[in-house]
Order: sequence, then structure tokens, then C-alpha cells
Amino acid sequence: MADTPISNNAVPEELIEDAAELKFPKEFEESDSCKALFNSEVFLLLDNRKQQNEAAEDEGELPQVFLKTHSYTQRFSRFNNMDTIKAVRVSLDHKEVMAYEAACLANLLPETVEEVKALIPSMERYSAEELQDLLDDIKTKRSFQA
Amino acid sequence: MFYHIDLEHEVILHPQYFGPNLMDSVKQKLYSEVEGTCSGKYGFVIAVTQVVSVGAGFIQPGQGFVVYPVKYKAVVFRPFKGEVCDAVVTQVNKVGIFCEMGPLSCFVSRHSIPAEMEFDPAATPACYRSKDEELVIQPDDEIRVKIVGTRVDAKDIFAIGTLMDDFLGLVN
Repeated sequence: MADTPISNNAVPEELIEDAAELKFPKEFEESDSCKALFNSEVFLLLDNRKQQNEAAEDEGELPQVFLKTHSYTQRFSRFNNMDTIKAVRVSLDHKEVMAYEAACLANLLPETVEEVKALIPSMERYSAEELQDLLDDIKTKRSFQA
Repeated sequence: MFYHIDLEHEVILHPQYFGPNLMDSVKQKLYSEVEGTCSGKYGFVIAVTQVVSVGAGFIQPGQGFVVYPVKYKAVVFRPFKGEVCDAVVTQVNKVGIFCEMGPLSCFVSRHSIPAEMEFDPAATPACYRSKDEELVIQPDDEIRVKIVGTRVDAKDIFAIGTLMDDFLGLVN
């Protein structure tokens, strides 16, 4: 019994998910119909919706999930306008960063190359200089936002 | 992680709504039926952002109800194993730390908190404190958590997290 290897066969390959290796269920693979969002983008979307809801005459209650997410994204929003977000996206796209990684970078705002590699292991495919450039770029754009 | 994703839903409408505001009724029903729901496959559906198309309705024989296939875009929150995410601490006790990432509740066991952090039940509020007393984790603090697993039940998802890795723990 001691030398019976633990079998992994019970779980089919496509059901194994591991963000560290960019393994996602097929519904969440990067495509036109599925895009990872920054916390800031979610906040701008939800805040817009919340204001519309408050302005409407027959104001319906927003679900608990909505309100919790609104306050969470408000707290962890790193960019305060759409222009900065777009600029960051453009420079990340330029380096062929995956949408998931881009959102992680923009939400977690790591300060050092070691931190990027520890938090988002799939980004180890970039060299230290490339990552440092990316971090500096995001930092600059963040410091110039209104 | 938050996603903007294309989804589908079948709206079943009672004949009383068949009139000039039919499409509005379909959309209203879609909003109220999908927003705030949760499934293991897509995670939490937070808000519908756009109704892409409402297909041809199919009248149920013998009933009069109509089924509309609706395609829409929504913001969803789906946690993944291995993902690192910031969370707000909601409760601290001797078994570990409970925290929230938006709609998702996450538990960090005592065994997944670095050993140098000790539970201090005497403090108000109760907290985890490092031996040199420099780091304190208490309710409403922000912590960076790595998700190690999720449990899905009929209407909710729960995550299990860890602080045992570099660059995790209290966010300054």
C-alpha cells in the first residue's frame, strides 16, 4: 500500500484550474467574449449603475452581492479615470501580457520584480528588465492621474 | 478576478406582459433573475451591463408562457485556485481569519498564518499579533491572500486562503 502512487486520474485534465500556471476553465480562457477587468473598471461600471438606480423613480433594491462588490472595488480601486486605465492597458498589451496578468498587476500593484514573480508566477517568462520597465510605466501613469 | 463575460439565460414570461412594453419586461425579468446569483461555473453574477439579443420567444404548448433565449454581457467575479487577491478582514478568532473579497467569503486557517503571528484574545478587538508586536491583523484591515481552494454549494462559493508565502499578509 505504501508504494501506491496517489492517482490524479479522478480529475479530468480540463477541470484542473491553477491561476499560477494560467490554467483556467474553458469559459474563462481569454477571448472576445471574456475579458478580465481591473478593480477600477468594475468600480466605474458599478458606480455608474448605482447612480442610475438612485436617479430612477421606481428605485429597486440592488442585490447584496452588488453592494458588497461596489464597496470592495471602491476600496481597492487603483486608478480613478478611464483614460489612465486605457493607457495602462495599451502599454501592457504592447508587451503581450495576458488579460489575467494585466488585471493582477493593476490590482495588486507590486513594487519590485521579486514581488511580481511571487504573486503572479506566470510572469516569470519576462526578464527582470522588462518587468521593471512595466512597473515603472504603471507607476508613472498612476502618479499623473487626475 | 472580475470578468466581463458573455452569458445566456432563458426568461419565462407570463402572457399578462404581452404588450407594448414586452421587451422591457423581458429585460427587467433578466436583471432580477440573474443579478446576485452565483454558480460554480461562472462565479458571482454582479451586474448585467448589456442585453445583446433577445431571441424569438417560444410559446409553451398548453400554458401560454413564453420562453425567450436572452444573450447578455455581465460583470462576474470568479475566484481561481492560485490567485492572489486583496481582502478585507471581517472576523478574527482562534481558528483563523475570515475575510471578504467583494461577494466572496474566504477563510484563512490558523495553520496557514505564519507561525510568528499569534492570536491575542485579550485585545479589543481580538487580533493576530507578531511577536515583536509590529504587525497586527484585526477586523477591517486589508490583507493579501492567496486562494488555495474553493468550495461550491447551491447558492454560494467559499474560498480557503493562505498567508504562508512571500509578499502575502497585511497590506500597508
